Amino acid sequence: MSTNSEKILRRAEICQKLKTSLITALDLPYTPDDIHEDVSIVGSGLGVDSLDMLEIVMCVESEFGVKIPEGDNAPLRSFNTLVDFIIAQQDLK
Amino acid sequence: MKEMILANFWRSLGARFGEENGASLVLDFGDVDAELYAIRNSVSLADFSFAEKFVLPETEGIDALDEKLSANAMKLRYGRVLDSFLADVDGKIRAEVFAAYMEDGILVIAESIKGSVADDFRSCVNFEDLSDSVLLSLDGPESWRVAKAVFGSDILNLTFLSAENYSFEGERVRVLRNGRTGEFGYWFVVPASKAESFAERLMQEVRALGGCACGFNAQVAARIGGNFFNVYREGAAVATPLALGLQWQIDFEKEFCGSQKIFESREAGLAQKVLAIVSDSPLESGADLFDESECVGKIVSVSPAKICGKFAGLALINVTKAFSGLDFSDKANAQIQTVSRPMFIAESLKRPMDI
Repeated sequence: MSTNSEKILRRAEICQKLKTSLITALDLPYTPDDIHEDVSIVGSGLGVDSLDMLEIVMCVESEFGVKIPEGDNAPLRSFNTLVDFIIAQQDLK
Repeated sequence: MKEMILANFWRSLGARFGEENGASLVLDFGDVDAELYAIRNSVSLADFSFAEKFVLPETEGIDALDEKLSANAMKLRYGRVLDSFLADVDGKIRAEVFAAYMEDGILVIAESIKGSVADDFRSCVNFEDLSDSVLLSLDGPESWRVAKAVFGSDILNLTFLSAENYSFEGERVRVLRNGRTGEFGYWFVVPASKAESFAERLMQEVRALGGCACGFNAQVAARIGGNFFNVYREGAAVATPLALGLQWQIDFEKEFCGSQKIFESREAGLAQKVLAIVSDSPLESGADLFDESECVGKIVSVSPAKICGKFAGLALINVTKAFSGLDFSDKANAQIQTVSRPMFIAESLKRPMDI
């Protein structure tokens, strides 16, 4: 089992990469540090619409090689749940 | 302290009362776990009348709100609800504020921990004080059935963070689709003259679906699990909007009350962040968190009910350690894990609306 240090390194890298990617893809008015990891992706929070969801799915696939199944919105509830999904999918490979 | 308009109604259902920022509220009905279960699996009804309620005239109101609120009130569209906060001059949280652009003006609902938000806006021409109205919160995956039974199918067109006026026994009921639990939810602002008959009507439908009335304690638990900010708990304990993760409520391009201090802290960089925690052992608010021997933060809010079978809460953690999926401990060496929010997939997302 990973120690906290190993988990932090891995998660911090994924978070930074994903934040940078989403800020660019969605033209968000934020810096990476502005995005709290529990921020909601739909509804309030980042308030993305259905077109933005497609951008997010494409970002995740191109940056991490992980595919979000069509119609599966569970990973997209918050930034953190999306990172959880990416980590879980990477661990499956 | 002024008694709630529906105090006797809730008392007859076994309510236990408490207080927040000088306002009376229902804490629970004797079983917080059952009340949280109703929120998550059927439907519940809570009285949020402790929140301030008032209406501002359209143009002047939006200008006044934009001057004070962290979000850009100018972008508020007709029929929509803006979720924002009000800070003091030191940039510390005072209130979470919801502004709904409705037919008769801007309905403002404020959950305040410092003084009266309404007093900030009384100078507006045609300010309408709704403190003699009741605010009811209907929450749960079956809440739409109750709303439909009372108001008809048209209410199902109300999308999240939208608002519309409806009628009950000839009186206007202001309806916001604004659940704060992660499940479907509606807020109803009802004049005092119809409050009891409206609450009875809702409870009739709530009971028919196996739900129940719920108090503030179940709502505290629901907000923690459902990833909704609670100004009365972590808001009061932490006070700084950025550490609380409220950046999404801020327009960094405009000035507002407290913006200078908030922008300065943004420039300086965050030192700590609020994250959710769970444990198999009871959590204690104010307790320190440790990564082996290093103190990395402290618990700032504890859920009054277990969430997904675990003791749960929120902790303010040093940014270098503020990540989900880590293992910490308290001073008694009880194991505590940081987790992502929302902590579960809401039933409302899983169940089809079989209209």
